[in-house]
Amino acid sequence: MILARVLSAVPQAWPVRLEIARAIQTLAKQILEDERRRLEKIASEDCGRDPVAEAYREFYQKHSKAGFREDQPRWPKGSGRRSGRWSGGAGLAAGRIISARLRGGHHYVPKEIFAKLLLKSETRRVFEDAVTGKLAPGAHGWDIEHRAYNKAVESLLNTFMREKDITAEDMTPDDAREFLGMVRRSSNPLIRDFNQRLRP
Amino acid sequence: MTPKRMTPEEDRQYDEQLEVFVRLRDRIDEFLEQHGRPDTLLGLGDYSAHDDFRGTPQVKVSVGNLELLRPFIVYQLQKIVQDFPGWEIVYAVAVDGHFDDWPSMGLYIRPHEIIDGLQRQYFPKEYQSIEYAGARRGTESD
Repeated sequence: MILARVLSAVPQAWPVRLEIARAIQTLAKQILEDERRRLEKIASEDCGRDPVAEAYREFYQKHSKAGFREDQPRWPKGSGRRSGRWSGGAGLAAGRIISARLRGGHHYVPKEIFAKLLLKSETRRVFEDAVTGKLAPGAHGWDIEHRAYNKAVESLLNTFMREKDITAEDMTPDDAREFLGMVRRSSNPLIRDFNQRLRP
Repeated sequence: MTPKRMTPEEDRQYDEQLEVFVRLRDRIDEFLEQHGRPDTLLGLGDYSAHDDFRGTPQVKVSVGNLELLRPFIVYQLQKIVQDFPGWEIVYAVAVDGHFDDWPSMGLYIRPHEIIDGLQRQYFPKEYQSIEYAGARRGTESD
């Protein structure tokens, strides 16, 4: 009886039902994203004696902080590389795909140049989250702007680390936020103009 | 100007394309890493497979080391993109030290063809004779 009433309350027109389904999907995405953030927050905090939080923190640190994939192939003996080392894509854990899928867009500190560094997971997250969101549609050309941007950001970071007397591995989330502020406010035309052009 | 809001259908298509983009970009990156060093925050390497998805079926790679233009590498990249019908690799020459004095040039590597827009006269001699079988000369607007 109740079910019949509920069902009759849902509009019968297919376009409307489709819209409702999409709205549910959008809400679900947001809920999942909120949950991901909550779990990551737990992972980066002291969990006290909460066994669930502790287990999650251990799992997260094992699979994310180390920056490797369990299934990642290694260089074979005689390949010319140091055998046994990861053969590529280090740091490209599943979280990377999830994050890119949910956000997309241009990273102020380009993902391709921080993804392979041994950064603290919380520091990496700051860079991961500093993204424009969906970009204005447009085709890529053969211009050098992307690489010139990489070079300019890299040079800025080296100055930043030298002044702070830290290495990439030492960088804290606060350092990363400070550095991001420098990138966003940079008056270097290679950085400023590229960001302005890509902003949606 | 406020950007046009995507319809739910466009939004769904964008997400699907983004997922393909991430897979293709990672395949390219893993392959190129066997032949050169990627750019990192600690310094420029030999190439960079960019992570910016612009809503078009393309992955852009900047090449800083002309060794990565060797045909066996380009053919291998074409093999990779053949697993992604409708997508292309924008392979741009971006050699540090020549950002300002070399024009924009590169290749479009597509599943069925290679568009060659290299301006070899700027290259050192040993790279001027590089050719790709079946490639057609083209421009950035191809």
